[in-house]
Amino acid sequence: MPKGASKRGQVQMTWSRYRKSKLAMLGLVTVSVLFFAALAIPLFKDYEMAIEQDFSSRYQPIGAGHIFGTDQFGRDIFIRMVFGARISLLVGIATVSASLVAGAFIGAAAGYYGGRLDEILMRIMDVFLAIPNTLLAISIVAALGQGITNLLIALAISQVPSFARVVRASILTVKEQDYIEAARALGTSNARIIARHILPNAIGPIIVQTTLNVARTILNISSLSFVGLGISPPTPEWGSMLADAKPQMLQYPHLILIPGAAIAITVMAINLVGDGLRDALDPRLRN
Amino acid sequence: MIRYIGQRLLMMIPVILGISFIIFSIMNLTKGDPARLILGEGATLEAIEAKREELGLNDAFIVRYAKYIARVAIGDFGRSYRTDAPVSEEIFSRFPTTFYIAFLGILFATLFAVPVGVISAVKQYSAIDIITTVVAMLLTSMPGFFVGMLLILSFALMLRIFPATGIGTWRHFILPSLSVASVTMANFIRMTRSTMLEVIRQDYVRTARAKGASMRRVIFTHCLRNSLLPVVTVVGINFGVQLGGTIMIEAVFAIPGLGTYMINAIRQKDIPAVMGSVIFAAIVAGIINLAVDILYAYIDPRVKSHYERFTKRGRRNAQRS
Repeated sequence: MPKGASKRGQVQMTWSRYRKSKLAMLGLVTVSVLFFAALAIPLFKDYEMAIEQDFSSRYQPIGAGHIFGTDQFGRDIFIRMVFGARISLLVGIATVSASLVAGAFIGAAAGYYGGRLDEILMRIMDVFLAIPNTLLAISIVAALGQGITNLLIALAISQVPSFARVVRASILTVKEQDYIEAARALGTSNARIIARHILPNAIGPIIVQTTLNVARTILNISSLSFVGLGISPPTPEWGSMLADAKPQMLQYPHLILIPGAAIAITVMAINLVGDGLRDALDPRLRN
Repeated sequence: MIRYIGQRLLMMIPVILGISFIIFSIMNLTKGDPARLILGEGATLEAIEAKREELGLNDAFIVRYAKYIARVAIGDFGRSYRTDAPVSEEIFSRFPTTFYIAFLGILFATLFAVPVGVISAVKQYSAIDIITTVVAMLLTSMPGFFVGMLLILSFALMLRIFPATGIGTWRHFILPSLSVASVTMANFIRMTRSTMLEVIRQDYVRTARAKGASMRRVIFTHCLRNSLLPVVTVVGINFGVQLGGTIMIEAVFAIPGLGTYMINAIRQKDIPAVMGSVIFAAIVAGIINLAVDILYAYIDPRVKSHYERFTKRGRRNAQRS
């Protein structure tokens, strides 16, 4: 059987199962719209517009001129929301990619080689897992100092163990299959077996975990920024916008409702995609 | 059983050593000299040097860690760099506040989530089930601090039913607990629903139905007990985590609990305070997990017999060697 054909077959089958879930499709459409807006916004609006203060137009209500009104510094909230999406999505994806690579490396080594190495690596990961995620991230940020890069590093490190576990578990399930034995008998190198034969067959749970972790990372970015340890103003980050608007929330509720809704919608859409992927990749898990 | 508890408590030691080592390393990587932080910017170099010597900061990193652990082993968590108060006193005076919030939050969440999860499973794909799933989904997608702000906005600022910030009366604890509940509840609902769905499909449920038992009776007498086991675990783990300090929620409500203590300590590089609260949180989470496992053995006789077999086999192996 030609290799390409079987691969396309699997992707198509997954897609046709995915399409059946309305919620999963809703999630996918929302994520696509957010993603497109986040990538395209610099083409239409200058980043300065999200930062520059204009005291002549503070607290404009929702409506004409400014779709979502303006904030306490006279900045257009809609533009700030879209730039905020850009930050959350890009930092979220970059963080998860970094921790996925590190986690996959550790998990693959532990799962494939087993024995003493597996024991040591997994004990270390267990210790990291025993520290609450936010706490670990907060202390790393405190040690490294504030800033987007440091936040990214802190959140990435705090997620490595969960990826290492998933990758290890996936590898253990396919490791003993006959085709791996066959590849080994043919003299294929270990690295090649892991990269070409094991990972592609163990990829399902890893994709699902990646998606769900992007959602969780976006929540963590906003939480850390909210307590002043993440991305600081005037950068349009949703969590720090919530912290900024907290004192005036009774007079101007839209200042907290809009960023809060942005977080909830984004995270929910990504979670829906993750759940949809899980059901589509492994229909047995469905309830 | 006692033997098992002892083993589990011993197993906590390497985990706590590991956690404390990681946090100790991270805090010591930090730029900024604790001695200078204590004495302030105007201090002379000699004074700083003397303070460094007094705090043992001139020792090698690993020596400092070993000394610290040796003191922790006899129950001495040191003194805060910032206030000079003993860290353990500070932790114990703040713990009740965090405990009430975590306990009430988990209680609210469980009392709401279990019935909802059961109904949702029994009436799978009904309107109630779909609404529950969507609401649970929405709750997991909202940051806890945002839920807290919404509660403050509606119940404290607009309706003026509960106070917005601080502690004091029972009324102060309601909104923070509800925020904790909202964060954890969705998880409990999903867990209850999926385990209940699994149990409903079991043969013994069909048998009971075939014998003419009503659905209500089957659910209460046969299903609930079996399906609640995994829920107990999830509730326990979440409770353990929340006891370590509900950082974001304490921040929104300006509550002087463990979470606030921890985040201030981290910001001010107050190493003894950070270490003390992290180790305390890890011990509490470990004890709660153990308590959950013991509770498990009492609810499920199969688990209990497994432990007993496990310890017997252990004894036999010990005799053989």
